[in-house]
Amino acid sequence: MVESIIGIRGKDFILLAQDANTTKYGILNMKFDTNRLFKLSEHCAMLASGEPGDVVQFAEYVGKNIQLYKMINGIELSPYACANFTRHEMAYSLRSRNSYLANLIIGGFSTNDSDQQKAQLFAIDYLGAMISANVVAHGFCQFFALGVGDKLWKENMTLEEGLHMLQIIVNELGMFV
Amino acid sequence: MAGEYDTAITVFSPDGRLFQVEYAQEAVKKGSTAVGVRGANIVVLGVEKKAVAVLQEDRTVRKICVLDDHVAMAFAGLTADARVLMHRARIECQSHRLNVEDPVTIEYITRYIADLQQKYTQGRGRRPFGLSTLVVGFDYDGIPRLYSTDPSGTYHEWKANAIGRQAKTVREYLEKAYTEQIYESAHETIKLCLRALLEVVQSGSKNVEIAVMYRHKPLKTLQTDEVEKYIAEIEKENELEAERKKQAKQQMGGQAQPTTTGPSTTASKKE
Repeated sequence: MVESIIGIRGKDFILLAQDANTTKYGILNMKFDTNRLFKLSEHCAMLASGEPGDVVQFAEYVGKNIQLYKMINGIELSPYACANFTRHEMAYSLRSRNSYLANLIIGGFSTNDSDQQKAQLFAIDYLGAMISANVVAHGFCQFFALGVGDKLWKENMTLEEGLHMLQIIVNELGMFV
Repeated sequence: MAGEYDTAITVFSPDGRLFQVEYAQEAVKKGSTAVGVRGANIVVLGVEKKAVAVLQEDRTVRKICVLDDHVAMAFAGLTADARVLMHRARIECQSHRLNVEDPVTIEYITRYIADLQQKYTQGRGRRPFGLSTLVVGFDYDGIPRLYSTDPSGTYHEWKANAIGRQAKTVREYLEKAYTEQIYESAHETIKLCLRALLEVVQSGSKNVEIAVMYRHKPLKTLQTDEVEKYIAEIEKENELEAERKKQAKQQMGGQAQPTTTGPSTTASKKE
């Protein structure tokens, strides 16, 4: 549960960042180009961290079911709908034979005209709890990201400001971007 | 256990036929016509749009549907059966992607649909699906495909095919009219599909629906004005053809001419 994933909501965008390392036994870095970003639809993506096998299995399962919904019903689900579907799957599997040790961040831009807030960002943890917030993070950087977000996040952030905030968080982690 | 249907509905007749399957094929013949044509870089589906009741919303009658980003299907026969089959096929398309990380090949999904149709011809108190399908699309190696299934569960690959009402007439027309040149040109392929459909459907853009799929592009339904442009072009070609034949006839000095073998000059208006 060390690998970090961060999400920042801006004026009309979502910024998603992920740690691309996979570590083992607290000391061994097995991979430095892990992909934790999964496309759910044309305007919605999901970051997932945690147990590597569970991450891929759960993320792909959710992604394909969202595609299936699009095929059957002819419309793409909004990020809000995707997140709620994912949360439901996570919560359902928790009290069953197969639970997934995966923490998720789902973010996207809603194409529904009726949505007032178009840029939508959600975080779901491995126990199936979901929140919507302006800055979300899982893993080690949670300790830094949420604090930095509290201080620096403001309404209608531009992409440059978002990237600047991300740089500060990443610097705290002692990592190089 | 009570409730288990052991009585099969589809059983062999003394002379080796499955009557329920044949009756299902009759149901297909009552459905409105669907035509599929394969080109070198395009696949085209055309369906007859039956007239809807005055108060009915036109757009809810969907005979051409997408199964995945690269596969589309048209059907002829029982609409409700088609809905069920479509749903299962869509699930299978995504399931395949999930398990093997690859989109389905057109042959695979056709085989899946055909297997489903076959299952219902064998026992357990169920009747066969009353529909035939035309499955089109591009495999991930870029090759265009057209397949057709029927209630018995058989499937074949075609260059061009028709199902539903007066399918035989349309297929005969396609056999005469399909050429290599048409295959090479997307424009001509669309026109051929339209011509074939107009053999048995009343001429007019509101009676037909044409959908085309180019390689690596999603299925696109042609707008009414686009269809009308094609129809206008076809009618002009028909007029020119009729002119040419009239002149040839006059040149021959009024001798009796054999009937034309080209496209019919007036679309036969069968109901």
